[in-house]
Amino acid sequence: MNILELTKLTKKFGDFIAVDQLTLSIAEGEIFGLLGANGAGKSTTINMVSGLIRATSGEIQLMGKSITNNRHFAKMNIGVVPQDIAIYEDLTAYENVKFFAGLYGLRGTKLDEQVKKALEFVGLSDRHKSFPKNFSGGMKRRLNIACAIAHQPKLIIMDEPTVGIDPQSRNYILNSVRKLNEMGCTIIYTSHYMEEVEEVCSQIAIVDHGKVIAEGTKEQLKSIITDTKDVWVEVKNIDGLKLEPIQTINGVLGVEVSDNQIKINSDMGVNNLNAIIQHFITNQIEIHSIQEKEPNLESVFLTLTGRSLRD
Amino acid sequence: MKDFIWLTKHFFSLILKKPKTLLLYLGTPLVSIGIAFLLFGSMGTESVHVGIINDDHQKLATETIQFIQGLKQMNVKQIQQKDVSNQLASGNLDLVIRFQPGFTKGLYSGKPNQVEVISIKGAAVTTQVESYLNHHLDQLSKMGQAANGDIKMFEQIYQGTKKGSLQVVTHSTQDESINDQISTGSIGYLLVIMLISAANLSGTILQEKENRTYFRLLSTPINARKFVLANVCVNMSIMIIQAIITILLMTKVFNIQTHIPVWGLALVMILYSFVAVAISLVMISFSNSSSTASTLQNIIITPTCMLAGCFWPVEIMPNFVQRIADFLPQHWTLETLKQLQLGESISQLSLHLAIICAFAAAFFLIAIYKFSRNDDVRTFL
Repeated sequence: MNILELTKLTKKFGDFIAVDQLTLSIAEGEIFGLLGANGAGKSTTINMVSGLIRATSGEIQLMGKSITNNRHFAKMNIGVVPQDIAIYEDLTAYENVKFFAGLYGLRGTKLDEQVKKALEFVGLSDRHKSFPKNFSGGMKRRLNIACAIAHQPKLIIMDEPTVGIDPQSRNYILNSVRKLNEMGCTIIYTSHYMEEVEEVCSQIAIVDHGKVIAEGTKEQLKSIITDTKDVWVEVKNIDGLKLEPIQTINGVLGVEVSDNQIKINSDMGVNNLNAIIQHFITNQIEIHSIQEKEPNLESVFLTLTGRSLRD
Repeated sequence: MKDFIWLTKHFFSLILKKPKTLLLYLGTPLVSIGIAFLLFGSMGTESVHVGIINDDHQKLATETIQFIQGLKQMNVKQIQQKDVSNQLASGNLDLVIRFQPGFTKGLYSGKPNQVEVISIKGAAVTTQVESYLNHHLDQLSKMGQAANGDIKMFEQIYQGTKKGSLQVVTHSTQDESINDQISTGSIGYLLVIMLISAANLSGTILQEKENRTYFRLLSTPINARKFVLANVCVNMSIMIIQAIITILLMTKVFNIQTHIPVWGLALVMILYSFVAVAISLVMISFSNSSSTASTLQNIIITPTCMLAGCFWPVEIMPNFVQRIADFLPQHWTLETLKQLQLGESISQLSLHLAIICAFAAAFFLIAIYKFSRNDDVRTFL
């Protein structure tokens, strides 16, 4: 069952079309990665889903209900972790989570329980009386998440939740994303860090110029754009190395040399690693290291959009 | 509704979390009264400094000097003729009374001509002293006329009046105009303070925007209308509390008689609270940052309050400026209070009240229109 369906979603700001007939389905229980460079329409799409702005045309359905006619229902079932830390510095961690949870109608014991649970989930139970001004960037990000999950939403939208934090907090947050997913939450996850998306997302959509240009699992996306692989060989001394014999090895499509490194591009379907190694041994060229690299999401994104994700 | 109440409580708790801000909002009414006291409180209470030159050196001159010394708010000292110019020019003395030789003799004969009053400040200073002095000399000269030059007879009549049959008694009467000036002055400054407070409180809308909590809130069941309305509720409450504190301080602590029925005063101040909040929302709706709002606040609040007569009576300004004041809500608020002071009833001032309401409605409509014109993620309504 799809928890969220976007159909021909369009948003115009004057003459500028930020989101252009975007159609997307997100199944319940997924961690859905939304990739797009700045200005691709990703944030506008998220803002429309989370109710910050209205769509110019098109339809957004959450759990089978149009959010245009069921805005309150939609907001009650969505938790938004904004890219910018949106907490009150004058309130303690507990008071921050309590305030946001209270907006969803939670009161009394239930509210207290949910707040404590959310703080425990993000690892801030022992700092519940502290003010965010005394928190590190990572702790603030975790508090930001706690504020979004205390009301136990079905769909959680996380917009760049790991920007500007230390690796430890980043790992904590990524683990939290997986745990939330195991607890039954569907998550829409956007990040500039491609490796994060590869690590946690089960389904990925690439958005460019307001449209979805590719969608699928990371394996499916990689297979869309390329059927080649690269082998990187680092040698002690490159003198005397002849490139032509390497190019005659079965499956090799091209060879490039940079310093003491040789990049050999081969057909994905041919296993020629042994033949390549044998060539270096036969020619008495000492190998320092050898690495086979498959295309990653970064190269997929670059190929599809013609620009890097951070552009 | 529950989420709206929750949000309103939250806004209140944020104010209560900052004691300095709370003190600023609730302490400023005291400032308005203080400023009014400083400006108007001293009016009419200063002593008149009188210099005396006694060239007569006779009994009636000495006793007349004692009479002047006995008057309230008179600071009397004897000086020499050569010091007159310096003392008057330097402002040490407001006036000088010179009893010329033959003063006593003139009174005995019923012709008091040998007295001279010298001042460079004019009638504003001399009138009060002259009226007391003339009254006293008139009595003495009538005794002189009755005695017909007989000094013994004069003394008998004079001693008789001193024993009680004829006495001049002076009373200080309360100058109600000063009292009214302090109360309207306090309220004038309160209007300014309320506008500034309202602008600051509405400014939290922009601060929430800048802190990104505003957008976070909009992703919850709270919508922009509820957000602004909750802010207005808090703003209105603070305005009303400020007005109540000012009225209580004026009447109960400083004993300033406003000569305005309390409920009438409260009604006008509540209506003005609406105007203040509406103006603050207009300023916020035209601002995209706190610094822009602050600039607008400086451009709008102080000049309009000056023109409206919050700092000084509008009557002292040129006619064309007074006409401008007719287009300012602060002026109509002050005018309504003045009319109430003059004894008009609330029902007789319904047009004034309607004009204040119209100002509030117009400003609210402008703010709503401007807010609703925004169509991006920074939208308010």
